Amino acid sequence: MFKKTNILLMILTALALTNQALALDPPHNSSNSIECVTCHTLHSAPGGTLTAVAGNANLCQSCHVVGGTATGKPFVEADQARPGLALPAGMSASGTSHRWDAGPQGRIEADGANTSAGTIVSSGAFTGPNIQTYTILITLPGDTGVAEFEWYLELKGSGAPTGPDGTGITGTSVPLGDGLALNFSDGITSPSFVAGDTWYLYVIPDIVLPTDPEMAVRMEGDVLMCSTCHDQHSQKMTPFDPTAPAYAGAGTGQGRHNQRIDNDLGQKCKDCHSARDVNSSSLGSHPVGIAIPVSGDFQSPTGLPLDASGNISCLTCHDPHYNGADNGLLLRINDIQTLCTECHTLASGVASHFNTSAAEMWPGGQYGSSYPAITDTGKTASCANCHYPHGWPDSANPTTDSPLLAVDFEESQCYTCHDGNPAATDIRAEFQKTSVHPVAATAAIHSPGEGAIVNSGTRHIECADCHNPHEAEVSVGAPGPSTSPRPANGPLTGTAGINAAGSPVATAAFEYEVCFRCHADSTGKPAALTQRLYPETNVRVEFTNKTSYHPVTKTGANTGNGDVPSLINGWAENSIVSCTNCHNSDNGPAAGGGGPNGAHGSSWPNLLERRYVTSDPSTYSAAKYASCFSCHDAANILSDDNNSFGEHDKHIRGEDAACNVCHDPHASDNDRLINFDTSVVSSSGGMGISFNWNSPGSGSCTLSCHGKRHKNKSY
Amino acid sequence: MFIPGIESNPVRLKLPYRGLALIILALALVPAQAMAQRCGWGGTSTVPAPEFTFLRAVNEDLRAPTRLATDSNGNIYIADPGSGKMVQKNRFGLTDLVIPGLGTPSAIAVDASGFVFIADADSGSVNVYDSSWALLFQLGRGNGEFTNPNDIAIDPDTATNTIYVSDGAENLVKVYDLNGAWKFNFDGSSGPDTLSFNFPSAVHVSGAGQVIVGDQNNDRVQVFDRQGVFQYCFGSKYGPGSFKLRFGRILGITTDSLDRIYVADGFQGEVQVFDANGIPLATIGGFGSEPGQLRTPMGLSLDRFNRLWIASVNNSRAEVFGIDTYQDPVYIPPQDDDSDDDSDGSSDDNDSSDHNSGHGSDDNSEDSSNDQSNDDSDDDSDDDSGSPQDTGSGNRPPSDSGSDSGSGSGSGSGSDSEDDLDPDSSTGHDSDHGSGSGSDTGPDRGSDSGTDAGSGYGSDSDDDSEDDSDDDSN
Repeated sequence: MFKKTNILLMILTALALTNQALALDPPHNSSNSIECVTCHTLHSAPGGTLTAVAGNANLCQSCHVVGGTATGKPFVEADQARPGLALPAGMSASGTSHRWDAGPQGRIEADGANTSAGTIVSSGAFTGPNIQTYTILITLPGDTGVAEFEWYLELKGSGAPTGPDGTGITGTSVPLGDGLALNFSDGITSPSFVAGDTWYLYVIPDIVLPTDPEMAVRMEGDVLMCSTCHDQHSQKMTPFDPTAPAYAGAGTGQGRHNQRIDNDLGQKCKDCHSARDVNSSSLGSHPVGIAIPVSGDFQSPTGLPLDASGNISCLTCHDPHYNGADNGLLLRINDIQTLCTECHTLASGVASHFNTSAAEMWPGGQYGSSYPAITDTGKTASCANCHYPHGWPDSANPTTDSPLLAVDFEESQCYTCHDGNPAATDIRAEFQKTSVHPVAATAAIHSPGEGAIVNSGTRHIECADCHNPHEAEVSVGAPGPSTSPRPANGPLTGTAGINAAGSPVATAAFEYEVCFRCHADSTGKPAALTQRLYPETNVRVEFTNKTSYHPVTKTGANTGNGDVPSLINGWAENSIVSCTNCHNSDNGPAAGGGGPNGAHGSSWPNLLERRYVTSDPSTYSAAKYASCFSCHDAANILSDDNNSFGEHDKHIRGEDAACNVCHDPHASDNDRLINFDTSVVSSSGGMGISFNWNSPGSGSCTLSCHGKRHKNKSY
Repeated sequence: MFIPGIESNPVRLKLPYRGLALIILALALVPAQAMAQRCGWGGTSTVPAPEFTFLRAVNEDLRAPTRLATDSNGNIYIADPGSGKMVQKNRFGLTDLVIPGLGTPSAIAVDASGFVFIADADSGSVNVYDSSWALLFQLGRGNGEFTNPNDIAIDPDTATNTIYVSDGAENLVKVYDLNGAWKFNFDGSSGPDTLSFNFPSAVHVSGAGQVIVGDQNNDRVQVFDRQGVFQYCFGSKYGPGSFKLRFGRILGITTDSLDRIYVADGFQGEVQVFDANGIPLATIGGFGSEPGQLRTPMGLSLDRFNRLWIASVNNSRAEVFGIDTYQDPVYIPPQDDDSDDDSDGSSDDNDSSDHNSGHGSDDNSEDSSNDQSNDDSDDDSDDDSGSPQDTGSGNRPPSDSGSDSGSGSGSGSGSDSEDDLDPDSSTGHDSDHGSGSGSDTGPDRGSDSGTDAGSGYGSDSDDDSEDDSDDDSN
């Protein structure tokens, strides 16, 4: 019955008379001469909620400006964050503050040289996986509906675009793909859109409209405003900072930063950035809301705040306003390495990947990753070269992120640098050879927390199985003759292993311990290459518990007795052989080439550094047994006076027998590494196959081979 | 209140009761003291409203410009606390110099001798620099002399040797001589009583010697004499007629040669213009980011060409409007003709006075008021030849005593627009009207009877530069 205005007047009058007007908490109250009418006007208000001018931020900024009433807390448009990742080349990052005009439709800015009077606004919600910038270029001038445009996608550092990614005619709600649309509006002059003018639409994934009702109702057309996150009237809600003063009722609470909703656990951040509210990195972003793990690889931060529950929070790493670095990232500590190492202690000071003087930076994804090249020299040798804390799309499967917050997947990540540029040697080329550690054969099986031994069902090999990326050091060069086992140093530093006794070790001491992870006690190993009289596929057992053995884990049985007369090139009876003496790149330093040292790949079978023909019969040439002859003198072996076995020449050159037919290159239950290839050597009638060794140069064989039978044939 | 028995309009509150409610409401909302003093406005003005023409927005090198000042040579000094810098631009709006590391420069002024006064909110000081940017002295005790120094005004009558600084936090205008010695303050207590400021946000001294203060939280402009004696005020949040705010947030004040008062309203995104008695005349700008619109306008300064420069903080730019009759020196890039107009032995393109930014002319080449030097390589009637060159194209400070104006010709006529601080609004053209060869630069507006050169506006009928292409002797 009564008009609403009259009722309003009655209520206001009553309130005014009883002096129970809306209580304002400081600082937006009488303590700073602020009254209701400071911001509200009762008639003909051009702004929402009876404010004096359109635009929530403009209202705040009229006092929050240097020289204004809130001169100590200015907020100017130029402060808004414009982070650098995926900005087009030539644009630099800036920003000290979380944006107050952002939304899931991204932010759009006009190029400074534009003369168009028209404007473009984006709408929708970005659903793509990548941070990116759409460059929108007017190709045909005119007003809305007539002017035409092209758009390009360009990631920083990826070079000039090769052609438009799309075209369109200006209008309202012109789709751009990935959930976005462009809305063009004419200006006051015509043509509204001038050919050649450019706009940039910058979008990031993982943003949605807020769901909290207090925040959701305060969006200006799906776009954030100051009042979305801040309650200009009240200090009641709990801030993140646990040292902020308590709220003691109306008129109190200055210093709590006017929270719109409780924010002690970063609830405000988690509403719009809900995709990042995860408690495990396997869910595609650095975990929040969990305690710092108690383990050797973590420590409690001293320079970063945890939330009120003692857990990591968005606000542990980020601070939304007045960031000193002015790069739009809003990080509390702007040196990435210092930031990560506040909690992560993985980084070893001497590891290659953390060597600041090597000054390497991620060169930009090349094997599927879209992670752009890092050009900020402040990020050399930092975690940011391999990791992106909020997850980077897995190029093979872009709707998910690469695991471990890495920027590429397994070996592709390593190859990006270790393909000769910027790393000095081309490891990737090794893995294209015919005999390789098969890193490409498996995906997503390796886990950094896996045990030292690799068993069936999870049998795999990745770069990280042998190389700890956080501890690997520079190459120590090719192996050579030594009297002690090759240590697991250089690039093998910090890798787990299985020791000679078969026990897992968290950090391998010797190179062979790394190999024993997969080639020793593991179940599910592939079948042996040669069918042997005394079969053994466990190389650890071979080298530790056999009668004769190449000395890998311990010195040889012939040490000091002169029974290995053929040794050359610095090898002696007390030498220790390392796996990589025989299993290595065919063009590595030990082979006289310029390639990398290590058992990555070889053109020879069995990942052997040199040729080792196993087929029988094989017409003899020294080259066929180069693997053996790098340590054993061919002339000595083939000499009839060889005091270990004078019949080598008869067998090798006379009968075209390969070394492998009689000898096992690893070890044997019998003497002298004799372990017959039973696909060539067979039983001698009913007498079986046997070899008896009496003394150097004296023994006997019973077998049948090449149609020839030996019955206790002695030499 | 429903009055039984009254048939007509039973749903409407009877006028007296409605009015009563309003009065009660007004009384409750309005502190008692406010009713004691009301600044009057209303009446008819004796000066015309200004005609204003949007010229351009200047954004280069600016992040959050809040205050600006202009000197007698046409330079503009912009305080940018968003970057902690002072950006000095020339008459063309092109950057000549950037001084970084100024803390939070919150106010700026330039005196007749070219000394620059810059307030630093961080240290609470006003620092004085000479034209080579050496720090000379600070006002008063130096650091800590001020709490929130948000505007500086120098009395244009140099004989008074006086400078005024508004301090919003202390609710004072503090007065010093130009050597930094403190003279006196005026006003002390906050509150809406006569003479009491509630956050003075701007101060300016008019040509007539009036000290005009923006009293922000009282939503009014107060006018004092040089000794700080209250004269009158206008505007009030409790003003007559309605509750609509006249001013949203007063953030800047300046005056012009007709003693009209320009008030930057940072809340409503406009500059309101009043006559000296506070009668509203016009509104310039409006909230927004399109060309000619304003976001948080603060600093105001009228330059020697009668252009109003407005620091529009949240558009990161300075907006430039021509007021009434103005000049607008426009930089025209040198034409690539390899002529050597100043006979220095090399192509003019290489002359050091070439301004190397894209839009404007080198003074050695012609402005559009004359034969373009590329038009006619044998036409040597270049105004620049032999006459003192205008150094206004980028050297600072341009000491134009010669015959050439910014982009203009100087064809032998003695009068120079450089010296012409006040445009002759009476005759409608610039007093440097020279010897017939289009000596006037820029756009003379209004009833320009003389030869008008440059980018003359529509009202210029003669010898407009657009016609100059016919002048080529070729």
